[in-house]
Amino acid sequence: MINKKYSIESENNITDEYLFLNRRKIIKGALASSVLINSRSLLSNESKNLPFTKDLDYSTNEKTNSFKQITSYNNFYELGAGKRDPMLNSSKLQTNNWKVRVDGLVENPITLDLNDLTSKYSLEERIYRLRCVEAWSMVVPWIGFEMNKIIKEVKPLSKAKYVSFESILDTVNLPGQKRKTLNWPYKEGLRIDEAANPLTILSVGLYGRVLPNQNGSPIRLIVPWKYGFKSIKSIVRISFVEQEPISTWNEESPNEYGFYSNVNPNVDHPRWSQKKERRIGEFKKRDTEIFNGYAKHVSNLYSNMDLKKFF
Amino acid sequence: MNRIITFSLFSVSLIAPIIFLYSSFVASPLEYLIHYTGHSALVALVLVLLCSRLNTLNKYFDRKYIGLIAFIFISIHVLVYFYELDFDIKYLILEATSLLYLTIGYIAYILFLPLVFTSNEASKIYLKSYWFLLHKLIYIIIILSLLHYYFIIKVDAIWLWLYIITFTILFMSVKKYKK
Repeated sequence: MINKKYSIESENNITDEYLFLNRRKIIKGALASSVLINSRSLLSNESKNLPFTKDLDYSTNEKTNSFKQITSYNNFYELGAGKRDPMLNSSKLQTNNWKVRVDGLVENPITLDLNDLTSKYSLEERIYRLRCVEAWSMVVPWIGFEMNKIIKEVKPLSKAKYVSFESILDTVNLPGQKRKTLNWPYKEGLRIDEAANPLTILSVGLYGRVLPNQNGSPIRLIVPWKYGFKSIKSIVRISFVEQEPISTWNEESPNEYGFYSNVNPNVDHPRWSQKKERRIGEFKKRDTEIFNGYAKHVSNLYSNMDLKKFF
Repeated sequence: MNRIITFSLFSVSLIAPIIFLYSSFVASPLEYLIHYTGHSALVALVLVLLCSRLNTLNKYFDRKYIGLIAFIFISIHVLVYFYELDFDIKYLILEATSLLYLTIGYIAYILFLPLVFTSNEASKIYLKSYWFLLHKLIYIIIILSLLHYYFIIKVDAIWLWLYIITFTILFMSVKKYKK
């Protein structure tokens, strides 16, 4: 190597005149083709920067958790029950040829493919608090779009009162689904007005990049005023329905995990407290806020409800 | 000899989590410490019972000190919990009285105290047969610890079952020994 670097230029080592004169064009061409390669690698779900605008209306200005924290401390039982398991097993989630069916009581059912998820709707960054039912929390800069956009596109019928969501079922590849720890596939649901609230987003990215597998790639729900388990990961189906849909944790243990599961420090989990939370990255626990601090935007959704009864 | 082995084991089990916390990224280090010390205390209690069942193990370990090590682990466990709640006495009392898993945990910890204070030879001589009766409390402490653990598990109970099976075998083997 060193010899080559310092060797005297021989005749055939000197740059061809044509190449020299067109060097800028050639570099431009190389750049363009690398962009092409990049957009192709998006299809194979490698990390890629997403185009997005910054939202100022709903985002918090609290300190965000690091990419490392957000991607190494996850509850995603399909990839294992330990906090680090989803990161360690992330490659077991296959997202090629992903499709999301949006159907049920709608005028215009649609199917979104992997490319649609990041290109069909304009993306924005939403920096939200995430509060888990296990009493830990994070601040995450999600990239996504409002659930509203899908609702407007599919046009729900007046009979539709709820939205149900379903995650991937892959008992062959997903290590957590080899045992029936939960009744797979994971299911969640929202009331239609909750789904239409501008805070509710479908996230396809994180820190400006495509969502890592352990965070629920390629598309997940984010409902920041509810406990994290409501924010279902790796969605394959969204259905508009008339009856209150099944939600997996409610099905598993109905007296511990309600359908609503709004963050509420005044209603403890039957076995542990919800008054405080462990913010990842901090050493002292902090007080939990009602509706995870989003009361201003969502308390009107529950104005006539007993939150202790509809927990 | 057995004390040297016991204390080296203790040092390793104290240093190991510190090395782990520094060498690999742990998003929630205090939570990790709480879990680690809880499990370590249970493993130490398994060793304590094993020592009283298998005479050969007594050659390598000092049962008394393993019991004290379990107590040290569980004290760290409690201290980290207090620290996270900023030693807010009012709030600590609220949690202790309203959450069953914590009430049980506190009872187990308080029951451990007389065992620690009477772990010296002088108490053994002074209390005579009462000493053995008193130290049977360890069985209640173990059962309460497992209940404390049971009440915070969401779905994955593999470790709990391993402890239950191990302790059941150890509990039953004492009966056989008496006969």
